[in-house]
Amino acid sequence: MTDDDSQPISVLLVEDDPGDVVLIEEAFEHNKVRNSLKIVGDGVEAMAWLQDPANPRPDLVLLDLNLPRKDGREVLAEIKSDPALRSIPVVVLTTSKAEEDILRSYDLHANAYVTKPVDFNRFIEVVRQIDEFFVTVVKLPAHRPPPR
Amino acid sequence: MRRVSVLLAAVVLAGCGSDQPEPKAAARTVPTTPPATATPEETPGPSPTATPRPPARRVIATGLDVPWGIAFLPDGDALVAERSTARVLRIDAGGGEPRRVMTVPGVARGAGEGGLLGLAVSPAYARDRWVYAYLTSTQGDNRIVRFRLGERVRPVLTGLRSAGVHNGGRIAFGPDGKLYAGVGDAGDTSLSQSPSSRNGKILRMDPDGDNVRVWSLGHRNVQGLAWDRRGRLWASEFGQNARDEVNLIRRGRNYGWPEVEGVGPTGGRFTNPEVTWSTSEASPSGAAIIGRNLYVAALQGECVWKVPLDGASAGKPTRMLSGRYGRIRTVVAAPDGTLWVATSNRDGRGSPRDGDDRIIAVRVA
Repeated sequence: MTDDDSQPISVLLVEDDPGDVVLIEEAFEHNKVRNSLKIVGDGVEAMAWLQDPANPRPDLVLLDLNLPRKDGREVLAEIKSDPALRSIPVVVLTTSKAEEDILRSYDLHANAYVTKPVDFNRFIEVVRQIDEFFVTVVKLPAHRPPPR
Repeated sequence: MRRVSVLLAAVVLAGCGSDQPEPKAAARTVPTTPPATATPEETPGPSPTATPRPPARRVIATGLDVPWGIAFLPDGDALVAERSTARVLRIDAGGGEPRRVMTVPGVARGAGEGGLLGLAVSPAYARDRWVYAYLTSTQGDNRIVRFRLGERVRPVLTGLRSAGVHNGGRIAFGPDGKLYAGVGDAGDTSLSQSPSSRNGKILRMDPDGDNVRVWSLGHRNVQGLAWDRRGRLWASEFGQNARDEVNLIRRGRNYGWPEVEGVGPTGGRFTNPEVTWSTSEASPSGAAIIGRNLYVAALQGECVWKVPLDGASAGKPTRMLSGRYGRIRTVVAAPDGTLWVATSNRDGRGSPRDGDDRIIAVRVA
């Protein structure tokens, strides 16, 4: 993969912990390609953002599971059962390493499940790797509006 | 003569910090090597062309023993008080291993929740070099003392009732240059409403201990004091079994303990809290304000609660660092604009992990 192939992508981050938001922002800043990061703090805001036709469709969703107002598991289920949204890759990014959460997330068609490392430097590195993977390695579906 | 007075004014102003931290001079470098006791590595710094932004997260110190009071000297060095060892440690502004600079004499050891508690630095430190501490003494009271580092300890206010619980302990200088103290009810609920007791109150006094006044009453156990940019005082407080609180403190107001816990009928006498939590979600000790947000350290809640402030109102709190570091007891606004977060897992009520207790500096948006 050359850098010429790498276009910025738009990422929707669904995360309520402001401490983790700062770490994830930091991680995104470490990569050569600067993606656009939209942050919402709960599941209700996430679905409102995704379902509003005025908003650009994100290329990737990073989804925490334990969210206020609407749980991440519900958000995942709604995204993956909506024909307009289900082709957006969703990476679950959560503190949980419970087997039942892992299984249930994949069952609901999560594209990947990542447990947030406790060590914050490792956390930043993991998020950076996710970001880089989806920009430089994977192919994403083309969609009409380009990312802002 | 004029030049001398200008110089004096500059010295007084330099020492006279408000409780909002002054941004440090751009020339001060953010350390890129971790303190000797830290295990994680530094995160890489930002672009060298800009003023260095603090790292998203940084380990300040590990291996501490119930750090309770944390206060900054004008040069950016930090002082940390350990509750049971009664040590005062100094951490250089540039980072590095904490060094013991003093063990405070006369501190009751193994005194339940008591011991060497809050720390504050004189607003005129450049001139007077006073460091203040609130402690449970071997003479059986809670008291506020002051000392120059390594020198004799002098009493500022003594005779506050102490107990195994509810010792209060947070002290801080307000924007008005006065010393404020959160004093618990020492487990005696009759004291908080009693005008003749200093327990169960927030006190305000001159830096030399003169003119001690009850600033507010009806408190159970106040361990967090923080001023917003308009000089309003916010205080966090432990509830009994029901509701922990954040109160907007106004002079002379009665915050209701023991007659009302949490939000309740005020009967025209009491002031309700701005925020409440269940005690399992919070058990709040320290508080700090950075920008428009109040941060409250949660012991049982094992997180930092971020509470947006909008003038005299508080918005919906969100959890930060939830479950990441265990019991959190103290938060302070550091001179570089980060939030220092101190754990309390070695206090007998927590499950210490390797490296506890620790202080982490967190960049806040």
